[in-house]
Formats: sequence, structure tokens, C-alpha cells
Amino acid sequence: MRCSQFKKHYSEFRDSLITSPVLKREMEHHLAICERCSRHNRAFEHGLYLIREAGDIEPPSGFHRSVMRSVKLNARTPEPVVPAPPAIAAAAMLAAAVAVFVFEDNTDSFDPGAQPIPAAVRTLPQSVPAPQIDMITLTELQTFTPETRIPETDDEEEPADEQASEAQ
Amino acid sequence: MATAIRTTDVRSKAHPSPRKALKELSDSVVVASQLAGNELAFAELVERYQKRLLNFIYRIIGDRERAEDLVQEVFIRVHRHLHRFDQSKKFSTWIYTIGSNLAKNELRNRSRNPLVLFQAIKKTWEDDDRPLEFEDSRHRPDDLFRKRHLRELVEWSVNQLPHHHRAVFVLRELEGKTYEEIAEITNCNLGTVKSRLNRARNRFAQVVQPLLD
Repeated sequence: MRCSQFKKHYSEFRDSLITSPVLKREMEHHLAICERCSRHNRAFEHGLYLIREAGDIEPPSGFHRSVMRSVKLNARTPEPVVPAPPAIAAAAMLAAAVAVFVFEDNTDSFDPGAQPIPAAVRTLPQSVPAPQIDMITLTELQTFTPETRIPETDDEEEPADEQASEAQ
Repeated sequence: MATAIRTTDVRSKAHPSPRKALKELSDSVVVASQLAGNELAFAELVERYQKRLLNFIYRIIGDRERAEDLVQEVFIRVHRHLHRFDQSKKFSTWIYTIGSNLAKNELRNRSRNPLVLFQAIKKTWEDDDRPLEFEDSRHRPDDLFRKRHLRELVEWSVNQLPHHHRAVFVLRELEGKTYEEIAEITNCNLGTVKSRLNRARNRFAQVVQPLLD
């Protein structure tokens, strides 16, 4: 028997749960001859002895009273509503999405007796004549100089009384 | 005078107080009594399980103060949900299942929130820094130190086990539960319990060996 096999059955061996007499004898033999597994077993037993030897911790004084008090305090309060963890919330959303999809799929299924849905009527866009715009040709643009600019309108002419005063 | 005392003694034996009477009853009868409205029965259940649960949870989470809080929480839940308990089953298994789940949640929360873990570790440091006051002076200080040191080493070794292995290990080795009970408490199948226990035992021996050599 190898050490790995011994360790594989170690727990069952400790609890005397090995039913096969051959395996049981092999385990006992290996434990007797293998120094490594024998130390492993001794360490386990010693460690366990120390834990048990250390004993239990005692509840603090008044612990029983304190427990009874908190039990009574919590006896009438309703259980708090725990919010769903993210995973559950995500699963619920996914289920809702699937349900919507299935429902939609059912409504779209082919029904030979159903009336055909009328095609949507769309009006064609109306053409509107563009407003009259004074156009300028490229050659006119090239001959355009500041002198050829459009003359100023009458609004910008100087007032008549000012012209008269200048003449004087 | 002596006759009077003797008469009282006989009466108390013939009609023990309700608390004393409860102590002699099995868990299932005490549970039935609590469900019938006897609040003293619940106090008896707390008396029976407070220490066992405190040690069980403490050994899993390694923080005494938090273990005390969780034991309180276990009893609050037991009180609230006792009417749902299947009385054909063992009460001890049920209460340990609640304790085990709370301890598991505690470890899960700690792994998610490193601050909680840090606070738990800090609390242990503070305990270590405290002078040894009110220790029993009949014991020699070096014996006390050695015992305490060994206890810490072994507790540390148990804490090296992954938490699902630790729970199985504590339930088997320290609480003396059967494989079937452990399977029920940890909500695992029997095969998983066996495999976890084997790994936990081998790992424990491996961790503890260099410390004890």
C-alpha cells in the first residue's frame, strides 16, 4: 500500500468504517511499517487531544438572561423583509424577459382565420416651390469688386436739413 | 425544626419545581411544552444549548464576541420558527443547522468585507495584549503559558482548514455527531461529508505536525 492510498482511507479507518477485511489489514500493516504515516497519525491524535484538553469556553455571566431578553424583544417584531440578492434579482429579470418574449411570440403566431392587418397608409411628401432668390453667376462673382457693390438705400441718406446747413 | 425541614424536603421531592422537572425531560418533550405555551421550556432549551452552540460557532468563526451574538441570533430564530420544526426529527440537529448556517454566512460576509475580518483579528490582538489578570494563582505561570500557547496553536491549525471542512471536522471530532447528522446540518450528502472529513483530518494532521514535533 502507498501512503496516498493510506491517506485516502484514513478517515474511514479512524472511524472503523472499513468493511473490507483485506483493506483493513493493509491499512494496519502500512501504519505499522511506514514511519511517515505513523507520524501523521500521531500528530493527528496529539492535536485532537490538545483541542479536547483545552476544554470548552464558558458563556459569560448573565448570558442566559441576555438571550432570553433578546428573544422576548424580537418575539413581536415582524421578520424584516430581506431584499433579494443581485443573483436572484437578475434571475427574476431574465425570467420576466423570457416571459415577455414567449408572450409576444404567441401573439404573432399564424392564425388562418385572422383578418389581414391593413397596410399602413403613408402620404407622399408635398413639394413646395422654393422662394424667389436673386441668383448670381460665377462670372458675376468674379467681376465683383467693392465698387460694384449695391448702392446704399434711401434710409441711409443724410437728412435734408443737414444738407441745407452744409450748403450755407 | 428538624421535622419541618424533613417535611419540606419530602414535599420538594414529591413535587419538584417546574424548572427541575423540565431538566429531566427529553428535548422533544421540552419543545412540545414550549409549543403548548410554557415559556419556561424555552429557557430550558437555552440552558441546554447555549454553551454547546457557543463553542461550535466559536470554533468555526474564531471570534468569541461575534460567536456570542450569533448564538443569540440562533435562539431568536428558534423561538420564531419553532412551530415549523418537524418534531419527528432531532431538535439538536435542527438547532445546529441554524447555527451552522449563521456561522457560514458570517464567514462569507467576512470574505466579502475585509474590514470586518480586520476588526475580528484586531480584537484577538487586544485580547493577547491584555495582562493576565484574575487567572487562577494555583497554577504555575509557565504551565498556564504553555497550555495557552498550545491551545492557540491548535486553534490556529483548525482555522487553517477551509470553512466547509472546518464545520465537518468540528461537528465530528468535537461535537461527536454522526455522519448522517453532519449531512443534515451541513445540507450535504453522505459522500460529501465523508470526503470533506477525510480531507479535513489529513490537512489538520499535516498542519499540526510541525508544531508538535
